Amino acid sequence: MAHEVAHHHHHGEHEVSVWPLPVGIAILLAPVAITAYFAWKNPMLALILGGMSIVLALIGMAGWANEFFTQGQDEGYGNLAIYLFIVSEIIIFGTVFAAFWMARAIHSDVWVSQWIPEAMNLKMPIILTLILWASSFTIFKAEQAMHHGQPGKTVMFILITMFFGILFTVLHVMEWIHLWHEGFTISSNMYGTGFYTLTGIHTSHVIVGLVMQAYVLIFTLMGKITPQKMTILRTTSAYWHFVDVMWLLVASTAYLVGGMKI
Amino acid sequence: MREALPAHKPWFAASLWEWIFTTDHKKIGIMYGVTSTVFFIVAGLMALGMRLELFSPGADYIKPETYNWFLTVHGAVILLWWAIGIWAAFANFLIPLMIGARDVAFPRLNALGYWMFFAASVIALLTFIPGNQIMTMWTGYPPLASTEGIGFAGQTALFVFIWHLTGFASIAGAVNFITTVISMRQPGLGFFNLNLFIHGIMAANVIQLLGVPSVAGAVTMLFLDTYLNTSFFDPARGGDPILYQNLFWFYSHPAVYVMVLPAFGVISEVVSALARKPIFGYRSMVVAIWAIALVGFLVWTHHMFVSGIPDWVKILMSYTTLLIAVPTGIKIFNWVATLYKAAIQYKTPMLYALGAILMFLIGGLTGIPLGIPAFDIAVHDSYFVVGHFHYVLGMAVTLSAFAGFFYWWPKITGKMYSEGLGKLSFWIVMIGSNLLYFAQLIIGIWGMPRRYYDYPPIESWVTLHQIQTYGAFILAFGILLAIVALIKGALSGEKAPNNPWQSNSLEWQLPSPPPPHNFDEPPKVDKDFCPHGYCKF
Amino acid sequence: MKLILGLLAFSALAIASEADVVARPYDLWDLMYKIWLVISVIIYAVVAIPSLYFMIKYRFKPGEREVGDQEHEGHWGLEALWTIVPLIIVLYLATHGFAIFTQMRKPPENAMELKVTAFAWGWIFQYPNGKMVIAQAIKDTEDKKCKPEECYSIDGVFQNYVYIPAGVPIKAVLTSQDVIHSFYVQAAGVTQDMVPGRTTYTWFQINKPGEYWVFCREYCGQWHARMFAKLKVVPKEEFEKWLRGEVASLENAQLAKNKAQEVAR
Ligand code: HEM
Ligand SMILES: [Cu+2]
Ligand SMILES: [Cu+2]
Repeated sequence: MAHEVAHHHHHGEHEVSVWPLPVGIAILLAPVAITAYFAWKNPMLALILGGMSIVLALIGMAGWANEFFTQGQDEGYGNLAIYLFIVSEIIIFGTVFAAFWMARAIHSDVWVSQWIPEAMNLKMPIILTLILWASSFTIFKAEQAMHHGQPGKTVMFILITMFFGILFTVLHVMEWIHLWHEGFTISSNMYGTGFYTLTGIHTSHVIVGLVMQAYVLIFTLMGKITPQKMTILRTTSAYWHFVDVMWLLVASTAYLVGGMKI
Repeated sequence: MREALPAHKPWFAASLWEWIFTTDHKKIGIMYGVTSTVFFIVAGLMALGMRLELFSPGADYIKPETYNWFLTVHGAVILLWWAIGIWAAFANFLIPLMIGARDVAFPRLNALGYWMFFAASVIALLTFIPGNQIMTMWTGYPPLASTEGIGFAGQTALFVFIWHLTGFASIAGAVNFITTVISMRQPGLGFFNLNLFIHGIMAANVIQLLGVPSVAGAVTMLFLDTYLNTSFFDPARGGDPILYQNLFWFYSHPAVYVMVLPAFGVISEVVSALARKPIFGYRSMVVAIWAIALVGFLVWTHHMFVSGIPDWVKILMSYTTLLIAVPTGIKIFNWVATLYKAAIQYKTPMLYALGAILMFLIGGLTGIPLGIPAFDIAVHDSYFVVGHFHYVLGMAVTLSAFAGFFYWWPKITGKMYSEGLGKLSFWIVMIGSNLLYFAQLIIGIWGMPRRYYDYPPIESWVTLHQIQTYGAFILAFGILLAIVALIKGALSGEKAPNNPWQSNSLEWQLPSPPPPHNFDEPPKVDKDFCPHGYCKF
Repeated sequence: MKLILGLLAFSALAIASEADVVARPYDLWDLMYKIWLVISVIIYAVVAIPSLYFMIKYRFKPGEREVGDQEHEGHWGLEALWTIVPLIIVLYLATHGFAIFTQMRKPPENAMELKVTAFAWGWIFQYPNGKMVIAQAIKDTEDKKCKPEECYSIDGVFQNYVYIPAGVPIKAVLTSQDVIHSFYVQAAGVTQDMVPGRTTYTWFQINKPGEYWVFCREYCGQWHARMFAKLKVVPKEEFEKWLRGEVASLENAQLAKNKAQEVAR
């Protein structure tokens, strides 16, 4: 995401980029696909539109990133922007926390006596927490390595971070499947709803973080991310730290507050 | 100033291809403006359809489902596309010019923001396909909206995605504009010498950043409840329908300041330029804007005074709600004081701006009692509310938007609008609007409930509904004239001078129309630069 | 502007004439309304009159008045004045409103309890002795639209009178079977939402026998606009007779049938 500097241009030249439009179309097709599936009950159409959306998004974002690294200048505005965006994200999480905590407080009697499934325990969240903590450390190392001009090390640490992120996602999905089969589903009651929604939204953020890391990885390998031009690495890292911190709140709410029998 | 360089192409001279793929803030601003205005007209036509149906009691022309669909689209579109969207147009075109920048911080993200807004427009158009109408009202309360089969609320998914897509566009815009103003100002431009319009837009965008995620969360839960059978709003499984209202209004009350703070900004620019006098009390204006934005987050339950929330919450938020009247009052008094010892030029934008002030005052004074539970209990969800928000939105915000159109038209198009038609349009809009909206206030005091497709044949009610319908058509004619005045100007108006209003603000120091790259050299700004409208040179 | 002030005065008169009915807590609302109206008209005048005066006096005149007074940029005293005075006014309004509201919300001790359950689209009223009355929206069908007078009339099938004793405070205990509705007693000036899974309440008292409107005020879907009921306020003795079933009409017999139809749909 760059800001083309005007004064280098010939007067009268127009600034264009072909990439926002395909990404915009991808963003349009996704909800239409979801509507096709859930409201129009047309899975075939949903599949086609959803597929088109993903392909367009990937192409569009690749082109966008490439254009940014070849033409753009890095003024570092992204550092502020990512924090603004994170503020917004915190509030999205806040809405689900509000729903969860309100139900927990108002219905604490049935919650404790009927809603907590047998299979709920703290083993998995502790493992998941350790994984994410480790990944926060490795992405920090990746950022530092780049800062010191060691792109090779950066690549290695990003790979490790991505490994942790993927491991987290896979283990988490297994945990969901397990609980779901025990009869604890998203529509059981407010615990089920709150549990799957909170952890689900969180995991979707993990995936966004992984996609960002994949881009950073590729462009580091291509030699386009350099110590002078590493805002995108910094923002990716800031976002990942946010996802990690958020996990602590999510896990303590979903497992501790939700699962404790008091 | 730059006449010396006649070689400039105007900013809008570009091929279709360049327009579609543009990342230039001016072109994107105009794309927002055109989309917003087209949807404003669509929403207005739907309102005329509603007014025809309500002209007399009984089922006349349309079915209740159709009325409810018209009303839902009228409300959602006029709020999200017009009252909020139109400021994205002004913000895009003007922010970089007013702070002396080449563009916004993230031009491509800016283009993507527009395409998300456009995507929302496509979703809104999908609701025109039979079977896909949305009858949720713009508020989409569950369990009505989240229960298929009860009450005929229509296609909830599309309602949800309208919010999501306009919301993403808003968040992208907010991140972009806030970063732009913080990081890209010319040296010399500080907190206390930015244009009041910039302050209005900045405060609005801070609200968007903090508020939109709340409504996005609410409608996401609505979606999950509707299609995945979650229990957020189902009391039988520990959910609560009132939760939605809390999350919804946590954004949607502050959202009214997203609509009105930029309007205040425009009024300040126009009034000071055309009164040929510095704005009165600039600093208290700035403080008032930010105070309104802040306290605006602490008042949302005044939309829920009859929902069954505890009485002490109502009282608490009654105080906070009424407190907002104080900074709002400061702004009004400062505008009036600006007129004292002024040299007022009655050009079309000035008429619209002054009209907006006097009409906003009615909107504000009718809003105060709605913040007092003892009063609201009798008029909640009545036409009194409808009258109140039409004075605020249908008049103050809409008149300000037109003030802005006329005021910056010479800069944008390089041509003067048609003054005679412009002034005529103002008076017709004023007459039509006041007939329509004042009748809404009175019939609301009498008890007429809101969102009614039909009403009992009570004689006094029928008369007032007829007055409303006449008013609506007069108003629509006025708006049509205003649009004609602008378009006629753009096509065949006189060539505009660079600074027809002799304003100090940076955008007026550019040629009319500005060249594609804005400033040849970054403009120099002194410490005591006075940006808002007219100041001593 | 005169027009607006005139209309404002007109609306005040209109209210006064409709307020002949003495209903509670409408009397309290009316007090709040009048306080607000007087304050608002004064504030409007205080702003609009100087504005109009300046607008006329300080017009641009070529050669004579081409620029405004550049030194007149602000005045801390004045700005403080129009911060503090409005602050006092709103604090007064909120506090007086608070006092009135507390009174408004407290149902008198001797109130009769009326259970009201809303559904899409109508109401079931249940009296203390278990007697029920149903008021259902009169809908249009594909082949038949009701005429304006019919859509809001009492036909004894869909719509039945809700008998209310004159001069007796009624505490309405409200809930809903499906979506959110709202219970608005026009004469008494009270609105209260009816939320599924919750009970809410409001109270009112109508002193003058006659017929009074109840409307649904929370949008509840297709036939929201036709969701009304008619209160038939009768002297206390007559009400008691009715309640014991002596004046009973079709209500009970029809109730089961109507509801069954509704559910079947
Ligand atoms: C031609 C001009 C207009 C006419 C005739 C008109 C008329 C109406 C009518 C009849 C309603 C429905 C009232 C009800 O049944 O409860 C309504 C609702 C509404 N109007 Fe307008 N209006 C106009 C312009 C505007 C403008 C310019 C705005 C805002 C900028 C606006 C904002 C709204 C909103 C937010 C609602 C509430 C929707 C809802 O209840 O869900 N209107 N209007
Ligand atoms: Cu509000
Ligand atoms: Cu209803």
